[in-house]
Amino acid sequence: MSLIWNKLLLECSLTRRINCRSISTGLSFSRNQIEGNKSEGTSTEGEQRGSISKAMQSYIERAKAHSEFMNEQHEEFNLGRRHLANMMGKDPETFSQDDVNEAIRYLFPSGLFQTKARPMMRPPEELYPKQKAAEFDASGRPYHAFFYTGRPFFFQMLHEMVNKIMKLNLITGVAAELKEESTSFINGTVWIGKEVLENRLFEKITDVQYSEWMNTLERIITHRHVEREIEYLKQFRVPLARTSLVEQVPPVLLQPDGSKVVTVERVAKKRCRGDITVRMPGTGEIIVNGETLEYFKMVQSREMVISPLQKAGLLGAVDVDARVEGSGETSQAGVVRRGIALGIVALGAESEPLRLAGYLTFDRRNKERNKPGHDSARKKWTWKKR
Amino acid sequence: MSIPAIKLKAKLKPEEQQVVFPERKPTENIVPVRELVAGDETLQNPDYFQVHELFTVKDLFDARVHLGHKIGSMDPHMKPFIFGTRFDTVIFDLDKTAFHLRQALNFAAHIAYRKGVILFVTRSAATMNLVERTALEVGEYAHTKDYDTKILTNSTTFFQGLTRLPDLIILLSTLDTVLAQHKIVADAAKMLIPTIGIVDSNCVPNQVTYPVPGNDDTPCAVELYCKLIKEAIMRGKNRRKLNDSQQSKAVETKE
Repeated sequence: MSLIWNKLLLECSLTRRINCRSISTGLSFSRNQIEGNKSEGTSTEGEQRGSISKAMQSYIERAKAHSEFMNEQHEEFNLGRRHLANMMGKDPETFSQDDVNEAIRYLFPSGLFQTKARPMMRPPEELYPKQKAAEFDASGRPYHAFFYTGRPFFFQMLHEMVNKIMKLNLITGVAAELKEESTSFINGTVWIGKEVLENRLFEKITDVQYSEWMNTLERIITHRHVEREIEYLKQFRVPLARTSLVEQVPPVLLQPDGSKVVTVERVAKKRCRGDITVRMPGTGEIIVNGETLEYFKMVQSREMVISPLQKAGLLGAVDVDARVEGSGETSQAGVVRRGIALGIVALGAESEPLRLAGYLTFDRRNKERNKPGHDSARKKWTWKKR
Repeated sequence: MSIPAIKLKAKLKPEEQQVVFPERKPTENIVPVRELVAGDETLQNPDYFQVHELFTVKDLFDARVHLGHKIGSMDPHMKPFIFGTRFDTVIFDLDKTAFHLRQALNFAAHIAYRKGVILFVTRSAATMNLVERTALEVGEYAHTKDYDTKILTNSTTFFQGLTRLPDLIILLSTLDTVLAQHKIVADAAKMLIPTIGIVDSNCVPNQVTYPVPGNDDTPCAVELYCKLIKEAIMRGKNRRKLNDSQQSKAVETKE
């Protein structure tokens, strides 16, 4: 096989490199270097320039400017601190950051809602972002193989994960039986969040990249040989935050006759307050402010009151005695409903269906706002056709 | 009737006609190419790194490099590289492929010898990991993920500072999606960065500096390319190491 050395192409490549893109120095040739090769001449300015890339020179200049700026800021901060100490009549030498904060609060009182918008004086290191260390050597070659992706550490992590999957795929033979203990860490834990991952990597990633990261981990966790990578996976799991904690369940009192009684106090909705007592076992009697369920005039309110008992299948099995005051009928029915729901949870009813139905959650809605151009929340002007 | 006389433009004076170019001062670092080539030992031999012995046409055939796509998807610019079709599938002329691959390997070895930054690129999911591993093994760089056009054309903003760009881009597949070309091909051409690209029958070879016609989908073919490129780059790097150690020894003995 004959190989023709296309000298012209390489020549072209070299010339345009030298003429056009002087940033890159890895391939630059200085006259001194060429002559040096011929006559082994002494090293001069040309060689020195060739040894440090423009990228590095620019970084050094930036770093220098940054440190000068920070020194200046530091001096200004110290001067300001001493001024404050003098104003407050304290010793400038022992005037700490806490004293500075106190002085600022005293001298420049601010009612601004945003704490960040209030006047402050903090050391410059806390205020200005830290400068990135150089990610390349003196010749401009990056240290990291995935530098050009812009997120080298993130993609390195993905690369390692794929390596692990390929390693697991190579394992022949039947998978060892999974012990429940080994994979039990999955229960009650979730993958670390995007921000936590970003903080670990010191890199910002996109939502798409985060989901790609999670998908790759899911591929490992569903692999039949997952038990070999459990230690690796554990570092990316955190305990699940408890989102649906049932509110503090009131205590159950055991009566001399063997029945259980729960009193839920100060249940609230809007301006209505109420104390609800639930007794088990009972005959299904519901008393509200000394009256029967007919205390509520609307059918909807009566249905509201018995709905938690229906949900839990305790209709006719418990007695309810409720005292409510304030607000209107619907609010009072809501208070009784929530009190009954909390009471039967304390007595052993399953909480999750009740929570999903919304009976255990505090209704934080208040008076509905009125709308612009109208008198009240819903009231409209009379429609008059011209 | 009198015809109005046409006004002619005033003639320029002879000294105004002459265009005077400003004198260009020779820049220090620019060396005439001939002088450069004459002074470099590696440029005296057409195949200094002996890349021709790395593979045979039989190796290419065994790795299924000759298989292209269906004839209907062929790009007309790929016509010079094909041998014919069989069952509507394009078959590459492996003699031509071998010629182009050897040129590409030679160029890669020379860039590695000159301490160039080499960037491996692909978007093929099946070979991503392989390509990244190859880059890590030879101590070079890889980009196999979503490509942002700022990386080459607006690098100072993208990397937050002046950054050295790659000196050679090796594309194991020049496609981004099935129908679209990878944007780095055009960007590299804009930035005068030479490229080596494996071009399948459905790719456009026009903007690639060293197009290598061949199959870019089959993993065993890509494995072969990676193996060859790795060997070529290592030859260049090893030669550089040898030269450096010899030079430092010479300096020591002199002192």
